[in-house]
Amino acid sequence: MTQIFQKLIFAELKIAGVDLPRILNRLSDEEYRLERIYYIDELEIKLLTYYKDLPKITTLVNKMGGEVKIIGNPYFIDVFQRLKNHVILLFTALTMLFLFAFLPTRVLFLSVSGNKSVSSSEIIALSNRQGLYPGAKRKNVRSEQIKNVLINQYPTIKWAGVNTRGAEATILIEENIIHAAAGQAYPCDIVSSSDGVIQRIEVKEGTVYCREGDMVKSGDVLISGKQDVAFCTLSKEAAGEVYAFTLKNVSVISPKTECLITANRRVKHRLSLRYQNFRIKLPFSSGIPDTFCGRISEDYCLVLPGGFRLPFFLQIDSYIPYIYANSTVDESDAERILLNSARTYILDSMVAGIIKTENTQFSGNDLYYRMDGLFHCCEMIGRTKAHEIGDVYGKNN
Amino acid sequence: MDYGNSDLRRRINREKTILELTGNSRLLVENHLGIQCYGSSVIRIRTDFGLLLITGDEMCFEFMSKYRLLIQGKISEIRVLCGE
Repeated sequence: MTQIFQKLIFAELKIAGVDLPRILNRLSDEEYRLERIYYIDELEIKLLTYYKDLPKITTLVNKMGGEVKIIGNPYFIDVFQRLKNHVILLFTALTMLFLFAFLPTRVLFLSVSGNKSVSSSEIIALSNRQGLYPGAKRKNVRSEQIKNVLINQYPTIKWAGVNTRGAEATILIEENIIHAAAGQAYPCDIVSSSDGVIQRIEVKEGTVYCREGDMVKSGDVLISGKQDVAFCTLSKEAAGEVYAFTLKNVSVISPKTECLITANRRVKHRLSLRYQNFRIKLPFSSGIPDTFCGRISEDYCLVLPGGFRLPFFLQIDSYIPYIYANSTVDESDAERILLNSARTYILDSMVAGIIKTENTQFSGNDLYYRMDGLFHCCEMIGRTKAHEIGDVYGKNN
Repeated sequence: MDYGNSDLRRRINREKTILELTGNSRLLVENHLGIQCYGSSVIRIRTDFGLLLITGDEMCFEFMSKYRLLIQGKISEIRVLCGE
């Protein structure tokens, strides 16, 4: 560190003279800083002194009949003296220095972000007229003024701002229609679960995006949890309920023949011995029963007199054999069953609601009966989300 | 080496020359009266008590001012020549 410091402010001299001790004594008496005084020969010495004292020392030494020769300049003077021989390098360095000093104060590049409805070229053209153009001074850029002009010119722009970083200026645009145009639903929004015409809206929290009588599609935002406040957007969980008239088209099919299972009241038993996972068949009524329906298995541990338990179990399978028979379904019965199935399906598919009217068409052929129905319902298509632990943005992981 | 206290020392000791030798490589002479002869092997310094003859090898003045003189090198002999 000391050496670097010395390089920056000290100059290296060679003093030649007949009476060098006298010269040194005189210089020290004058209180010049003298360091590293090296003996070269009887007539010459080498030393370091302050660069600023050099003219005075030279004059003094010359008066005393000596001679001063500078053999090393301070570092920065050396650098400049060397650069004098490299004009191109010096020019490049000076140009770079100028550019580094000049560039950060100017705007050279313009970009626009966040715009959807208004083109970037229009925004840039308008900003140019307000003093934001390539080459403009950064300190002269008035973000507030540009914002006001943009908002007045384009009603769709809600907020604008200019962010300068280095030589680049970015015009940030926030538009009113982004949310609706993109149809993007956020986790805080209430969205429609099916297509329909809005019948009733009950809002507790959030911004309503629809009115009674509006037609909405599945996935449309009904109540938004986002609220625009001056320069930022607040997100809050939307709360409310939306009811709508919906139309559901259902087709139900039932086979014409059905299998009737009739229980035989006689209970049968099968006995077997079991050792761990191995089954030992017994001579009578042993083995696994054919059926699985209505089968009851019971294990009895075999215990010797005195309470010693054997590792064998007596397994008793009790079951009721069924009688299977095919029969043809009545047309009236089939219609009733299909209608009930369709209604059950529709009601189950709703969050909450009722079937207002229904228009069904019953048909049949040799194999099956078919019912096509058009059901007019009034159902809840949007409601406050009930989150659970582990939910990520309303979706259960 | 503390140069800051040397002025104070000089006043206390009333201009008496002080020699401070560190090993055989550094010699600090305070309140000297000037150099008489200078070479890499022999240095003569005037003091209030006479002439100081320093013999050695590769000697140089690390620092020199009106009151202080710091000699650095391989010092082999220091002699005081009184009355000269």
